[in-house]
Amino acid sequence: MKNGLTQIAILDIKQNLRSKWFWSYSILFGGFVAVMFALGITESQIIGFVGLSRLMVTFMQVSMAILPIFVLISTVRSVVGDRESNVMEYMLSLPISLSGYFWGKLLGRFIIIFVPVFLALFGATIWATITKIDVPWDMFAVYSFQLAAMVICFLGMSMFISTVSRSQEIAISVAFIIWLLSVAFLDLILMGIMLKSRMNPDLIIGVGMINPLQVFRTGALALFDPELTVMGPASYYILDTVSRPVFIIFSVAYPVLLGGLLAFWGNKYFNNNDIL
Amino acid sequence: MTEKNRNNLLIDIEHLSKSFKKIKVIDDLTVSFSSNERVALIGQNGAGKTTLIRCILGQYVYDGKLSVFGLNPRTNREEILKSVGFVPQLPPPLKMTVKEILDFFAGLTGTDKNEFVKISEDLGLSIKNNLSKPFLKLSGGMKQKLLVSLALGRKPKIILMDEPSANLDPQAREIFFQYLNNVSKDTLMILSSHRMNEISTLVTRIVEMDLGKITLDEHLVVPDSSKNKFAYKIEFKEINDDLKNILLDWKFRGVNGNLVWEAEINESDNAKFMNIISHFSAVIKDMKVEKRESEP
Repeated sequence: MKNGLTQIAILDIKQNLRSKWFWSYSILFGGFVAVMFALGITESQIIGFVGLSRLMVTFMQVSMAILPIFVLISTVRSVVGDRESNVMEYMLSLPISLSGYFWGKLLGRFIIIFVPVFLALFGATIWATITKIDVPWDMFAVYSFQLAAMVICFLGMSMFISTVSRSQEIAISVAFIIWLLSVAFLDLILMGIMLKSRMNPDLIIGVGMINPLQVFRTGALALFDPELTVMGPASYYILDTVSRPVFIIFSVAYPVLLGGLLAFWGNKYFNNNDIL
Repeated sequence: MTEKNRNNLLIDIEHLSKSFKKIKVIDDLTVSFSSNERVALIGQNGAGKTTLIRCILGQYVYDGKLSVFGLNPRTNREEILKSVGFVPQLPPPLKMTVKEILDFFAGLTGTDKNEFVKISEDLGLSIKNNLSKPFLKLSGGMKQKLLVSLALGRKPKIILMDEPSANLDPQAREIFFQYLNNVSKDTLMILSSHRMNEISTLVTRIVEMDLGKITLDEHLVVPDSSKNKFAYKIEFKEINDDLKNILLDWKFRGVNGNLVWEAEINESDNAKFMNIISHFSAVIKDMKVEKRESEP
């Protein structure tokens, strides 16, 4: 007899495989790669990188836009939704540990969210190999880790929100606010405004570096644009403070740590409070 | 509590309190349940029955002391719940198919799947014809039959049922109660129900709750060897179908039209009957009880 983690993870995967959102999500990512190939996005040369690397960078930018909101919206309802619908009352009358239930849900969600994205990226490398396009395997490996890190980050966040929220409406509202704040504090929008209004650079960079979306974006950019030229003056500050390899490691480690910590607190809350 | 009961103690509750937003739902409750008991947990809506069951299942944090098999249900969930069968009041909207549910339960509890199938079939739910159907799409009665079979098939040491027969058709209800009757005498059974007439012949103890406190705790067991009887003659102001069914269950016969009823009740069942009939005190006009002792 196990503590239920595996069974809950498998159950969550099976349930999600039946849901429409999962198939829309998978088709979106898979379709996106297919469209990029069809449009010949691998064939042009832009700022020194060609072939599959261009497709991969574009894929990462799209992932940055879509993945967090997908993770947040699909996952914040999981625990609180089970609680509201009496599913949890029944499931947790079974010999399943509370931690087994919590981490099982998280594991199931991770697999169901990460696998389609990874397969889309991996499928691109397979297609590129078949069509004799150079595959930058090191880039593929780092991007895979970065994608996994971002999924873990927003999954941990979502599970925390879902556990502490008393209703699905509250959970979804909080998830939207977090996503909006993450987008607003990207260098593209608010960071630009902050820079223009000559705010303290430490504060600007600090805000950027606690925003996992910004960390992900910068980490992904750093791989094909070593000078981070597209980020403007902020790049000097970042690259002066930490080296490029260190930042790439940070872009994987920080989201994992943040997501892991939030998931840990979520599990702690789940274990120490009323389940229903 | 007798020495035997103390040894068989499965659930021990001392000064249990539970509040939601400063509203006390369970108020300094002290009660214990032993392995050989079949308990009717009764009370109005909001009396605290479901909250008590959820505390026993380790789903709520609480003040006071609660132990199941001598263990804390919050910190020893798996160990406790592998021996507890639970049927909720409302079937959960599980999206799993019947097959997935059976596999899931069998895997989780180490029970042979056929045990669940057998009870389901006995209750009138054809598993074979419904294997690929999502649980959510089954009718209310079918869901309840499956939940009951999942609870009983595990052969638990404690059975907790919250209005278990609410969605069952009369035939399935009869089979269901036969099943409960045949459950091992060592099993503690706690049935929360509003239909006292249904479970009256099944239970050995009645615990009534109101505003989070126990207002009545009656052990109904008198030695089966007693041959004494109580002769009842009850005159009612009015009578409804529920009451009539109870009287018929207890072998009462109507005399003088339909308002006066007579029967002899075994001493071993007398306390149980008194508890049931007390719920109809408002419509009782007159009641005569005479004890008839059997000859030695």
